[in-house]
Amino acid sequence: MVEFTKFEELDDRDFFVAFVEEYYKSGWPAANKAGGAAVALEGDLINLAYDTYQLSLQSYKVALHSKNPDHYKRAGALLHALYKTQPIVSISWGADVERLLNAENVGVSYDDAQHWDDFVSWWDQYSNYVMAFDLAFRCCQVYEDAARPYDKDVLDNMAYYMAENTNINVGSFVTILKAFMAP
Amino acid sequence: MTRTDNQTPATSSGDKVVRACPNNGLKQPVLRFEETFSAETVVLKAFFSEK
Repeated sequence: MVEFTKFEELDDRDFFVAFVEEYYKSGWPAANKAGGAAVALEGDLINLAYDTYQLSLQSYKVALHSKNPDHYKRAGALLHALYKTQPIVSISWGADVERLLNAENVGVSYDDAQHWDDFVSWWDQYSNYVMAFDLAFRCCQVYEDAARPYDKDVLDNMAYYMAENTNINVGSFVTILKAFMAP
Repeated sequence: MTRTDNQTPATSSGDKVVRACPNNGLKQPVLRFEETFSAETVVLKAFFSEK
């Protein structure tokens, strides 16, 4: 089990790759069990995310006397790197979900099929963005005095923002995180 | 804005520091990762809660 305790750990490539891979695959045990989804990741893209993350950090370091970007900048850089590289390359659904998606199958109501279609469509479309936001937001929260809960409206807005805009910069993510977290 | 890193000198006039990068350093972590809020909670509530 790869445990994140502080941002400095992400400066190690092996830790970064292992942490992202493990979180994307098994960071949501209850939801994965209920939803029956399994993601496939591309290792090269996670390595590229590490390079992108480090490049963003270096850009901040040259502008800072402290040479030590705070957690908003690091979390923003992490979110940006994962948003850019999108390491989830495919999602597989269990046989149960495939069955529940079709209302013509025995024992599946129209409402059942509609509900599962909503979930599968949402996850197919937004999984990369939602996982990237979740991971970066959680790492950022580690440095706050209390957990910062949010609702689905926030999550949907973030996912939609990332899906509709292909060239969001690190500063925008930093601003969003700081605006949400800072007292 | 409160500076979190008082060890490093404040920026003086003419320094090549952009305003988007206030000179804050990284603080010490407060929470454990497991104690943070996860989007999984949102997803479970939105799609898999008992109505």
